[in-house]
Amino acid sequence: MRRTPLYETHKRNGGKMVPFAGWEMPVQFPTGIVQEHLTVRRAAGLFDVSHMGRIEFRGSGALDYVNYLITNDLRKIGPGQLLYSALCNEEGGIIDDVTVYHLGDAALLVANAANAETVLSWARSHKPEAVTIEDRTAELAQLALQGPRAEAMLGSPFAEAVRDVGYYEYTWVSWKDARILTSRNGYTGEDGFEIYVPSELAVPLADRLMQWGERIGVAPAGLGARDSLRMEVNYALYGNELSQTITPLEAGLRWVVKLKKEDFIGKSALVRQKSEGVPRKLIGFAVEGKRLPRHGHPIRIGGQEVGVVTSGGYCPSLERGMGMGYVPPDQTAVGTELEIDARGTRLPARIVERPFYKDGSVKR
Amino acid sequence: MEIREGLRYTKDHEWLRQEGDEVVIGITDYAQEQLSDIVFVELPEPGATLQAGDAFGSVEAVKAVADLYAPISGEVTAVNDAVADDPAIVNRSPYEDGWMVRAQAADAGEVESLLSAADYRALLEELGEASE
Repeated sequence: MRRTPLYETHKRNGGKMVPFAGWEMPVQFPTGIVQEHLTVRRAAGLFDVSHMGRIEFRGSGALDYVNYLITNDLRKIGPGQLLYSALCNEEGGIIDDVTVYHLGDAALLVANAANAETVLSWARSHKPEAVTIEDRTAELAQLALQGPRAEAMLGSPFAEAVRDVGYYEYTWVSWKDARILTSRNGYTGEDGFEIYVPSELAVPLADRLMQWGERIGVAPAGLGARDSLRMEVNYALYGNELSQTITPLEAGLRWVVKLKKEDFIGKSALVRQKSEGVPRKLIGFAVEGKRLPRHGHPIRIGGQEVGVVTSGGYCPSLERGMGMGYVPPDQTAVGTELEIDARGTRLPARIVERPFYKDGSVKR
Repeated sequence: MEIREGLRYTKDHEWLRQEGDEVVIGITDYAQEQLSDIVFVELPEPGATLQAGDAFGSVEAVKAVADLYAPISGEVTAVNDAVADDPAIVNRSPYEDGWMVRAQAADAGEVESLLSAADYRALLEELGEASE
């Protein structure tokens, strides 16, 4: 089981450590998931996301090669920017959903922890000779500071450096003789930052952020709150909404598929699916009553089983049970009545607009 | 984690307290800690029948759902509306404010057959969870 540089910090903060994708990570701290969730919406939370895979592509043609692996178009952005994308197999199925940082003549690709090895070997097996691929996961830690007060919490010199950094942009901040990549993006629907810090500086940086942050009501947050926050704003989670047998067109990620760009892996399959139509589409729903929908529960319409819940649970900011799932493409209208089969109990539900939570501080 | 002396327990982590000729039923500190973040509690109406070992309600937490099993047979005389309104009470006070239902036991002998605090502690030790 791997540990991040912040493992001891989490233990000291009372983090409940659980195995996650081969890592020992805090699922929650003593105040609990709901409190952490609400703290991120009201103030800010500090997440350790060092378990994610950080893969650097360098050498001649590195950017073109990354662009060949992903569905979004790296040529549309420049140094100082990043993008979100799917990375597909030849059939258009999603191998991973990633963020890619344009570093000028290199690129940093951030993969989900559970997929990091798969993405690494996929990238290595298709690469041209001149491109170098380096796994920088161990040498860099990754912190996510999320919430309306995130910028105020950064403190000097970060706060000054990011003032003019827009959504999905990054800058380099000099701190303790290191250059620290700091970007404005996240996975919660709130304003916030991801900070890529040399592993040996992870503890001092986290300590400093928390010292500043405690004064303005900021708390450490775990994977549990990360999951409920992302579900409330309908961000897809790999292994739930996304898999190797689901395409980005089915998963509501059409906006990161650039079918007009040059060839990329999965393009012909996605072009075909776009013209033929998708077999299913992702929807969001709300349930009535005091039972919660969960991942794996069947979805029924008019008594017929039509799909499955991919994510489900309690939305703390909305105080109700909600979820996402796949249904046939002609049954996705807002207002459509569903039934969720919660281990034999039928929960009445209804398709609702996404995102569920619309009041986030994210600066698009 | 707290195990209260003087209460009766089940292996499903409910507790039962005898109060005159009625009993009060809730879930243990261990149960609330395992569930963590309780967000909904579903309870029966007063007058409902409890059947020992059968589910009489459910507790939904952020992470998981758990059924509530009746420790004894009897008739529900009151339910705790406060936990229905604010389920986090169960996390804060599982043995006091977070009680679930009051009932009239059908057979006093059933209460005697439940686990004692010492039995319950031994059960948790088997689960590798007893502390303090």
